[in-house]
Amino acid sequence: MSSPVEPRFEQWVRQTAGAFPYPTLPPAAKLADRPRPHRPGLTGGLRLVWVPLALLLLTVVLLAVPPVRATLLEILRIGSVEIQVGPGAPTPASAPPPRFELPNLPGRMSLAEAERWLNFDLRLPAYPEDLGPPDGVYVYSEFGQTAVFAWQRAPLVLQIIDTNILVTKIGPASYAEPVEVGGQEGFWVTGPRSLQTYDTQLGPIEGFGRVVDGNVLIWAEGDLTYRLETDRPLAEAIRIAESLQPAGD
Amino acid sequence: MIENQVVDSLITRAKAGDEEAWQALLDEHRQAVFRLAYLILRDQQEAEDAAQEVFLRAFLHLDSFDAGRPLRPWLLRIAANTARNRRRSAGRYWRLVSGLFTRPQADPAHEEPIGEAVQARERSLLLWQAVRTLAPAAQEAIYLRYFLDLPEAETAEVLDLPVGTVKSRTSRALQQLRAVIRRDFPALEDDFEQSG
Repeated sequence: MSSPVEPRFEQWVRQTAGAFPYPTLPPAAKLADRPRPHRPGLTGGLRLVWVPLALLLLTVVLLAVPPVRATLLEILRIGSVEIQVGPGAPTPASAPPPRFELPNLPGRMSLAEAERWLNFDLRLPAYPEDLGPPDGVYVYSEFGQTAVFAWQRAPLVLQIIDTNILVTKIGPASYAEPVEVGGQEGFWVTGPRSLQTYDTQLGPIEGFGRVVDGNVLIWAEGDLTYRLETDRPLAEAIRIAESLQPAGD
Repeated sequence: MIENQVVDSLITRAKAGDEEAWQALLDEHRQAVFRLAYLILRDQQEAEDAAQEVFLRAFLHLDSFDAGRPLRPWLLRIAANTARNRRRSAGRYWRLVSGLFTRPQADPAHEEPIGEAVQARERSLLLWQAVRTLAPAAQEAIYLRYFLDLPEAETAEVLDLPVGTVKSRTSRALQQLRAVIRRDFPALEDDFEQSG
């Protein structure tokens, strides 16, 4: 049996938790009036069907309106990733250089555990030669399987997605360029996008707004979709993507 | 806080369909419901929606509520169940795993001086991250006992467990949290060591 926790630690946890910055409590009317119950019965699998159907319907409706059609984004699809490219020219990043953060998210495990856990054969980059094993490995199994590998020093993130759909909304300053990765169709997505990871690290906290800023190379091979996030140029990203080899080789 | 007799009266009236009485009861407890939903869901909008759902469910099932018991743990139990169900959604999942490259928005208006209050807030956010690495049952025990500062007996009502089980579950959760902080959260470990 493990030793009891020090009372001092318990007191420290209570005191630290007491400073938690909850969001502002919405007005009572918003909570209590016109309640909107969560639709029951849309389980994970059904939702994965429902989401793309709803998006398709929304797109069709929007395209029927001429002013909207003129400005509406282009929708691209690769593997399990749907990209919505907004109007506007790509804008080079002008803010400070992006910062890479390795999150402490649930699902973190060792590389060996991930290899045992995943339903597909794992392949990782062999380039750059000094890349080494990933610093962070995360595996999620709620909607198919997804593995996320992060190299902090590179910095580099590889997501391998074995699921039905991922919707990536992209802001108007972004840009998606068709590319070829090892003979497969793919997209190189650049520019800041403002919605994906707002709460990855700290949650949605006032004064800590964030934009996603890495370039992303997306391609599909068989049933798997790959998403490589990096601050390197396209040629380097493709070289990394084409260097994937079975883990452990 | 509303007097017990008034609460009883409000519950009786709410059970009879009096919406004003129900609203008065909600005003007393909506902050706790919203905060628990936010801790579990990590998203303000989702927490607001979950809170709405909690109050609707509670109103619809008010007949099954034992008016001799306190209302808050019953509402928080519904809140925990509702938030748990909502957590399993594709949208939230992807927001968690997508885009590890981030940078603060370059908006000087958002910059704050580093004061003790800011440091305390950042420590509490780090603590939240550490708690989120634990199993869901352990997370909920810590949220109720330390973030919402509920007594053991009320936590037991929310979790529908004997008080003894809550004690052991909370103790185990704290041990796991202690280990996680030692291993992965050096800033918190330093702060704890310096607190003595």
